[in-house]
Amino acid sequence: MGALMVIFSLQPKQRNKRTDSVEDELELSAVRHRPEGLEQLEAQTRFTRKELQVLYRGFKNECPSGVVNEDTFKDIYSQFFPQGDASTYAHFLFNAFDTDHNGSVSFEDFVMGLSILLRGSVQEKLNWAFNLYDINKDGYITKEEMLDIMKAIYDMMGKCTYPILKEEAPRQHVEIFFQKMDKNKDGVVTIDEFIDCCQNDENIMRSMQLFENVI
Amino acid sequence: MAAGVAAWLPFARAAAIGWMPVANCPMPVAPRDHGKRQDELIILNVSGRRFQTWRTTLDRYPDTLLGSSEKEFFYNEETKEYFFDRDPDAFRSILNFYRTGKLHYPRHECISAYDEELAFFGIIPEIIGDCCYEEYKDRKRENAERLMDDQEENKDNKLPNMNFRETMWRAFENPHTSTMALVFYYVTGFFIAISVITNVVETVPCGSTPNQKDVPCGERYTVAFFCMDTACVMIFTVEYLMRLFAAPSRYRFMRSVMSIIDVVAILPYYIGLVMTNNEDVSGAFVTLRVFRVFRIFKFSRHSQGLRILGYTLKSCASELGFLLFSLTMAIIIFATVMFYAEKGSSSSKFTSIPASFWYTIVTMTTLGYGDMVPKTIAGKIFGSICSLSGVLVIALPVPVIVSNFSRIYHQNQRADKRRAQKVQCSEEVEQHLSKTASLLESQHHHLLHCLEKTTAHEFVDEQLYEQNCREGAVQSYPSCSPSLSSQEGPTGTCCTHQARKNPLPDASVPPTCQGALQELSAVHIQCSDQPALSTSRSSLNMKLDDTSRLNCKSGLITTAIISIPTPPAVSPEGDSQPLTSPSMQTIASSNAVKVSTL
Repeated sequence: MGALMVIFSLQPKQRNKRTDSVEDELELSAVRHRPEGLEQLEAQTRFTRKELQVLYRGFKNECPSGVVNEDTFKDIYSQFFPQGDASTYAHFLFNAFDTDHNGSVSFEDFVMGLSILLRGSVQEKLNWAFNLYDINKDGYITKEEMLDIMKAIYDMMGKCTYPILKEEAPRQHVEIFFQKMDKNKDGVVTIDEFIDCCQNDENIMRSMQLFENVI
Repeated sequence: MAAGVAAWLPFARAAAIGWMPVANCPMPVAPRDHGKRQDELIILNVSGRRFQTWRTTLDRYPDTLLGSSEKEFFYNEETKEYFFDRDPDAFRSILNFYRTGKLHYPRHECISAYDEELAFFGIIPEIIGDCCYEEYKDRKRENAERLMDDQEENKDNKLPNMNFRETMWRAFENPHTSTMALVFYYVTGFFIAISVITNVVETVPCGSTPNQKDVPCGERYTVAFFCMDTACVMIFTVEYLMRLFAAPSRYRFMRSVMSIIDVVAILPYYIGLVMTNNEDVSGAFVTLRVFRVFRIFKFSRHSQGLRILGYTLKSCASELGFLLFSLTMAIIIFATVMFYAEKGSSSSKFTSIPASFWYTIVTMTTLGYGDMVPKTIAGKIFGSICSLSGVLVIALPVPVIVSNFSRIYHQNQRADKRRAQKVQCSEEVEQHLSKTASLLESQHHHLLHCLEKTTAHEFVDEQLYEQNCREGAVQSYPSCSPSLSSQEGPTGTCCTHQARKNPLPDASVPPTCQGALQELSAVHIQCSDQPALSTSRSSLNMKLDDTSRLNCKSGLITTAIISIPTPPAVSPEGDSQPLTSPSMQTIASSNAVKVSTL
């Protein structure tokens, strides 16, 4: 019976928390965003009108409010990687897409990013990738930043892998990356080193063309 | 993968470019999207009401009627639309399923009509969303029960060609089918009543003779009672033997509850007959007579209500058990407390904790006999706490059991549904889903494969992972080495028609056997210099990127795959539907069925 009393006294607190989150959700859904006109987007990106229409329909279906906030973004991205934890990588991706750093990805941001990734030149794609890796956007990729990114990628694999994921795997991978990319061995990779090195690597060049036909 | 999220797959794939500079190995080729056409609106005319939707919306579920080429059968050339002569109201929810990925059950709809519509359009009811699933299952169950009742009524007007045995059995089970059966039914009922009354009256003290105390009737009129008992037992024995003879499955009949009750009802008499002379066991014999009261349970054959009560109790057994357990806990706690509280007082009735159990039970159920009463102040305080809490503890469970019951019941339904979705036990479902390789799925697999290549690790499922951990053997296959020559030998022939590597995921023949031995695909092929162990895939991967399309689809193929206890990777099954047939197809088509690896 004492236990019952304790349980009853705990209930009100939980209820408050629940109502708070409901209120938060209501607030969020009040935010609505309408994208710029179709013509403007057509001019700014390399997609055709029809492609933009298809993209917007998909976007709006999943995010009726017109913007994606980071949590929704993480949710959506995690659905593609059921075995691992995609939230860290999704965070980096979100920052890469959210070019104006306002905390939400609107349709324009989304479509601009996709335009670079799918229809951009190799230079632009590499630029985008560099931007992704450069977490603090200072123009240099340090080993710590790369390690963060690498850990995020390995997190997406999850626990159940073959061969079993060891602790040092991301670090080793970062070492290999730096050996390849850091030409002047100064401990950071600049954009020029990055682009140079990637352009000389056949595998990377080939894989950049992989997703041409995605839309 | 939800249909809505499928719209984001292009984005996820584009974002994969972020992995490319980091990867050390070349990436697998993307699945080609041939047959890509501009998205067009198609018109679905359902009994005059026109629905319009995009073609790609319908293509999301290629294993249904609307998503496959089966809808071409309904195409009307003149009006350039697809005409279906079905209920437009039910069609609304079906079309919404394509749009939102969730199937809802409209409450006003009749369950069997809805089921027919689903069956027509090739949608399995198991994917009904959680919001509507309980309602659907409830209605379905009610309907099924009603149908069963109807069937039972119809059963009685049955076939004339039954042999004697079957007639007898039917007469026993449904007494109203023939007059003889009815007579038999009433006679047995009458004798059960007589027997029970006899047992009761036996113990009533009949008038006393002057020189003796009150004597129970049983001892006064021993012969009469004995004769009645004998008669009843005769009838019951004959009845039991007749039922045993008539039963279609004697073994099952003997195990059924009713027949056990019958046996227990008549055994004491026979045992009594055998053992009357032995004085030592007369005590045991007396106990046996108690079992005669079980004859009253024979009434449950005559009463539907009793049977239902029994069934209800049986179905609530776990909740009742839990209630009993929690009551026991409370009793033990309070009994202990009372014992120690009353230890000090002299001439306390609370001689031991078990002795205090009685007090606790009597107090908590608010009976309060008063045969055991606490005398110390502490005892009285705890005693009053005990009785107050007893009120709560006893009064609470009744609605709690009811609500618990309904909640757990529904939870079980949902869990069953989820389990059923994971395991996909029905063959139909397997075949259904394994029919066509969805482009979406193959693109998703390609994406996951790219991730594997980037990190130079492969997805495996939990069991294999644990196996690996246990063995501690991390076979260090260098991820980017050229194909292991040892594996090429027997498998070289198999993939000649495949230009690129052919990871063949697991192949449990019934894909449901997740727990079953993970079988290694026998054939791996590497024609490029990618790692041979490419059977890994994530749970979703049961397909080969393009190769599945090269082979034609046939249902489940039971090609043998060798099971090898050690790793390397075997494709795992995750929580999406395992689709094994494509892999099987390649094996079947390549005819290299029993090749062993390694």
